[in-house]
Amino acid sequence: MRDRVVVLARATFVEAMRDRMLLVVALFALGMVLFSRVLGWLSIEDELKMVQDFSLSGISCLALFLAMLVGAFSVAKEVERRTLYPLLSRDLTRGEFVVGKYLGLVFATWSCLAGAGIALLLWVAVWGGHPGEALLAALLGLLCESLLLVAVALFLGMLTAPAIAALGTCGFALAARSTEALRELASSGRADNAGFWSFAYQLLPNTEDVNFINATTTGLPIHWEQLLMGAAAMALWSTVFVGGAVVLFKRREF
Amino acid sequence: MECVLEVAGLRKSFRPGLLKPRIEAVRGVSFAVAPGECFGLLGQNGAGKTTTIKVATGLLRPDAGRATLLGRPCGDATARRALGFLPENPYFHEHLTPREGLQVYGRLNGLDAATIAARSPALLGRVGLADAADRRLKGFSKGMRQRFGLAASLLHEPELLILDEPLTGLDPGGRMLVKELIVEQRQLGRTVVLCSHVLADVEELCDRVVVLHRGQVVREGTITELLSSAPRSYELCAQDLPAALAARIAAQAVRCHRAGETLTARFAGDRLGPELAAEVHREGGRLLSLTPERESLEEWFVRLVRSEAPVEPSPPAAAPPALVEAGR
Repeated sequence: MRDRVVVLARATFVEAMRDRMLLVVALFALGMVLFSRVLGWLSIEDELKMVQDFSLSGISCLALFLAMLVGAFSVAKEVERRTLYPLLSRDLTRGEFVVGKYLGLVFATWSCLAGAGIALLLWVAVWGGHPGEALLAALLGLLCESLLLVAVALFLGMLTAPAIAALGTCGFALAARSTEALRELASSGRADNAGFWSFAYQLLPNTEDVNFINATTTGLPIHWEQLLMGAAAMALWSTVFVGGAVVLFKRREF
Repeated sequence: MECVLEVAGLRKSFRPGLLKPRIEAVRGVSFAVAPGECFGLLGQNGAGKTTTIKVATGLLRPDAGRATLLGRPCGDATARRALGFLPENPYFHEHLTPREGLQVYGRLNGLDAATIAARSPALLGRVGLADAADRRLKGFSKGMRQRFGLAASLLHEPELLILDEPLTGLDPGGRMLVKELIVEQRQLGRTVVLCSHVLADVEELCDRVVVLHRGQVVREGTITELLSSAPRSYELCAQDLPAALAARIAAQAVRCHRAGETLTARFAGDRLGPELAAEVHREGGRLLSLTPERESLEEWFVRLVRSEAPVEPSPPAAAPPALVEAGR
C-alpha cells in the first residue's frame, strides 16, 4: 500500500511541478519578495522588518493560492481529462489514490513555499540582515498551514465544483485565522453561551497557532513548543479532511 | 473451468440531471469470458458497452447484479492486478514521459522498478514509441496516446486485456499494430475483451461476441453461429447475354449493374444464382463467375439492430434474465 501511495505522490508532484501555472504563481511570490525592498525603503521603521513582513505575507498568499489551485482543481481535472481511468483500473484503492494525490500536492506546495522562503532568506542577507529564528519559525508555520489548506481544498474539491471549492478554501483560510475572535467572545462576558464559544474555539482549526509572521516584526521570543503543537494540530485536522475526501471519493463514480 | 470475466444480471442507471428521470444504461446484462478467448462486445453508441466495461474495471458500481474478475468482485483492487485496460480515447498525465508513465503504471500494478526498466524499451519499441520515450505525453497525437495506452496496459502482462474501442482514430499502421498485438496476446494464452463498433475488426479478431442493444444482450455466440442464420446470396458475373435473359436476370436480382457487355447481379438465397448460371450456359452467354456470398458481420448487425423493436425501460429492482438467443 505504502509503495503505491508513494508512487502516486511522486507522479502527482512531478506533474504539478511541471505545470506552467504553478511556475507563474511561484514567480509572482518571488516578485513580491523582491518588491518588498522597495517598501522597506519607503518605511520609516526598520527597513528589513518591513521586507520580512511584506514578503512573508506574500508567501502566505502564495500558500493559499497554491492550495486553491492544486487542491481544489486537481481531482476535477483528473475526472474531466479521464486520467483517472488508467489509475483506478489498476491495483490501487480509491483511498490510496486520494492519500497519494494529497501527499504529492503537499510536496509540490512545500517546494514552491521553500523556494520562496529561501529567496527571502537570501534577500534579507543581501541587504545586510541576519535571518533570525522568528523568520524561520514563520516559514515553518506557513508550511504547516499549507498542509491543512491543501487538505481542505482537496476535500471541498470532492464535494463541489472546483471554483466553488477554491472559494470555500479561501473562506476557510480566513475563518481559521479568525478563531481567536471566538476566545475573545467567550472571555469578554458579552456572549450568552461563553462555554459554547470557548469549546468552539478549542475545537475548530486555528491557523494562528502556526502564524509567526508578527513575531518577525515585534521581536517577541519564539516558543518552539507552540509551533510543534500547532503543527500537530494542523496534521490532525489535515487527516480529518483527507479522511473526509477519501469517504467522498469512494462514493463517486466515473 | 473458471471464467476470467463474468457478468451476471448487471444493471446500471444514471440520472442525467437533478430533476431528470434515471436512464437505465445496462439492463440485466450477463455473459462470461473463458480463458484464452478473444471476446467481442458489440453494440451501437449508447448500447451499454462502455458502462459494462466500466463496471468490469471497477470504475462504476452496479445497481444490481455482479461482475467478477477471476472469481473476485471487480470492485476489489487486488482482482484488478490481473487486468490490463485501455479506455476509449485514453488520456494520461501529460507532463510525464512514456518512460516515466510506464514506471508509474507498472509500480501501481506491483512491478518493481528494475522489471519495469527492463521491459519498457522493448514494449515502447513494439508500439512504435521508442523515439518518443523521453518526450512528454502532452505533445502526443491521439494515435500515439493510444499506442502508449496499449504499452501501459500490457506492461504487467495481464491475464485479461480489456480494450475499449482500441482501433478508433488510428491510422492504417496503428490499426495493423493493434491487431497484431491482440493476436500476440492470444498466442500467449491471454484473454482479450474487445469492445468496438468497428465490426470488420471484431469479425477478424474475435472468437465469440455478445451484442448489446439498449442495455440488453440480444445475441451471443461465435461469429459462425451468429452468421449461420444470415441469408446467403450469390453473385453472378456474365458477358454476351441475350437481351431477354439479361432482362430476366435484372428483374430477379436484388442488385444488378451493367458495365459494357458485362452484367453483375446479386441474388438472394442459395437457389436462384446456380439456376440462372445454368441458364446463361444454355442460352450461349459467357459465365465469368458465380460466387456464393455470406452476409458480413456488419450487414448482419445492421439488420439485427434495425429489426430490434424499442424496449421500454423496466424498473431497476426487477432483474429479468437477459434475452440471449445464441446462434439464432
